[in-house]
Amino acid sequence: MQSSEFQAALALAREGEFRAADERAQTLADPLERVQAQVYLRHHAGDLEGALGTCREGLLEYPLDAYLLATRQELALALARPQELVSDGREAEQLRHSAALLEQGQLRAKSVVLVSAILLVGLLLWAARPRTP
Amino acid sequence: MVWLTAAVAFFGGGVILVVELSAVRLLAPWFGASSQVWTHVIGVILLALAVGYALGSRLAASARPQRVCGMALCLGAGWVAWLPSLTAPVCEWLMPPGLSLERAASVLGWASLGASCLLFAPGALLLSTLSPLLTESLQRAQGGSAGQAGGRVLAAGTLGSLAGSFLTSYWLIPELGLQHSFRGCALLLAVLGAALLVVRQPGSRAALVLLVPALAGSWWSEWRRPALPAGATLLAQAESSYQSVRVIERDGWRFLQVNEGLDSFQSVWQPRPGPFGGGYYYDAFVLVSHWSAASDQPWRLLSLGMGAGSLLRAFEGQRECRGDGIEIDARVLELARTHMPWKESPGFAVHSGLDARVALRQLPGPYDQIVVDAYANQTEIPAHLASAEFFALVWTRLAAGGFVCLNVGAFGNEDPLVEAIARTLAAACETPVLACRLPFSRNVLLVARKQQALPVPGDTSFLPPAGHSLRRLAQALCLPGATRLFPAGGLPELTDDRSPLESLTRASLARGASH
Repeated sequence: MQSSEFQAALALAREGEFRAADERAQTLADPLERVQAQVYLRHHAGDLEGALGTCREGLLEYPLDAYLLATRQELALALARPQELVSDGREAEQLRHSAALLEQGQLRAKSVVLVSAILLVGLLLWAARPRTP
Repeated sequence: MVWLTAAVAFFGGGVILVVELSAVRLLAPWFGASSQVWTHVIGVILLALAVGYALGSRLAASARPQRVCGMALCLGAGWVAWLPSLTAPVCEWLMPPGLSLERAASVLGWASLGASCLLFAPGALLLSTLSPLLTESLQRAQGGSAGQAGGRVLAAGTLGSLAGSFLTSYWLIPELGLQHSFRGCALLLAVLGAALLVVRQPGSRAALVLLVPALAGSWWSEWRRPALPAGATLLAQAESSYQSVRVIERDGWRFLQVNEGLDSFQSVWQPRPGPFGGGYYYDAFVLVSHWSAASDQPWRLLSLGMGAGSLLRAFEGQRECRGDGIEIDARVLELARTHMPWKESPGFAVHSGLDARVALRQLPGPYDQIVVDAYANQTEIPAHLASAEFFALVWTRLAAGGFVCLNVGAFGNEDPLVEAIARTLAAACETPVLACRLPFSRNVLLVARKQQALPVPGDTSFLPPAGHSLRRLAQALCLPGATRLFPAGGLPELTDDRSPLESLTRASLARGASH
């Protein structure tokens, strides 16, 4: 059962009155509601980093809270942070796949540079050495 | 023989320069055209040239150096012909598509270096074998000293490079485009190679088969740009003098993308005029204009780096703007007027083809608001538009109570790029600077005000009235941590003399990717 103060803070955030919503959220008596309200209003105010950070901290205290878990998943997808994902699914799989592709690309690029450098310098040394008659 | 040797040296030198200068343009849609990319391309080509000269000197000892030279030209022609169509697969192999800008930043450096190695080293190596081979041929044909022959070949080659550099910038890229420029170069090399192989070279005609890849490439090779984002349609694309530009449309909204845009954009347009909402930073510039008490007067605005006019679109219906807009890339404005129009008025003059700093010197002002939103490529603020000297010049063009606003692509108010630019502005203008982390975006707005105090977040002067379309944005900026005030004074971190902007940009992108 959520308190009316909590509902009021969320309503203010929905209306875009974020400062008032923040002030009201900070006065909530229930610590879980306080965290949820902070996450909600930061998310709606466009501070996705701040919302994710607050969510992460909240989950340390309330690791099974469904709202915090769902919001963290949503923010992890929005910010493309595979390490922040809390569950699987098609979008999460795509994000992990994209992160793996990025690592592969990095490895390929470094390998190409290394092999090219060895080949070019080797060819240079071979071509520049004196010819025997 | 002498004339043929001179022609090969001249055109070979020219093609190397055409390829070198066009190489960055080929890579730009994937990796941008930053000085980092230029350094990689030039570095790889210089190493390949050194190897090619050494290799050429070894091959020059062969019985028929002219024949080897012809074969190198034919192979080089094939490489030049296929370069445009090889670019996309190589770049996408090294940097997978669909990445966000900050995630891609971690791979941009290595990927551009790797792509330079794969794409440009082989051809540069082949073409640089020409000089020693031609020198040897000339000396054998004419006698005389090696120095004499070498000097003549070098002179012809350097003149060719000179012609190639001017032709590339002033005619080939703007008029013919990349693909036709490479085709033309390939055919030129192929003709020279064929000439060397058939002139007084018995038994060399079989080597003409080496021309097949060049001729096939000239016909079929096609340069492909990066794929469009999902659900987007392409409205227009062009190669301007500065960058690759395209206009795409998604859900009725239009976006101007340049070079390595990835998931970001340079300008945005919506069918409805006025503020954009969401995370579009142009709205923040309009919000700043509401902090001024004189709301009934026309707003004297100077937009430095106006792109496709998104700022003016956001102002439509909010305030009547008078003043000037500066955009260095005339092609961007052409595309904007066709696909992303804003309401043009006689009181607002748009100047194209001018650098913002050069233009600022000519414009006397005063302005109520000067917006600096100039980017080279996607992520780089030009150093001369973020220095203490530039900010001091901007300050002289502001009216009393006027605002200077800067858009900085960055990840929060503690971002090293934001800190350096804000401290420089605070030092140059001896005024406090307010940094605002903009919601739903990776942009930070920096604001300073001349001779008057900035409004404090949360005060009534900071917030538009209830029901105003920008109130939600202003409210979001009132939350703890959304703004940061940099005090006046201090020492500027960025000057015309010393500006580590590129390393700060890299640090900023790395910071964004590491979260």
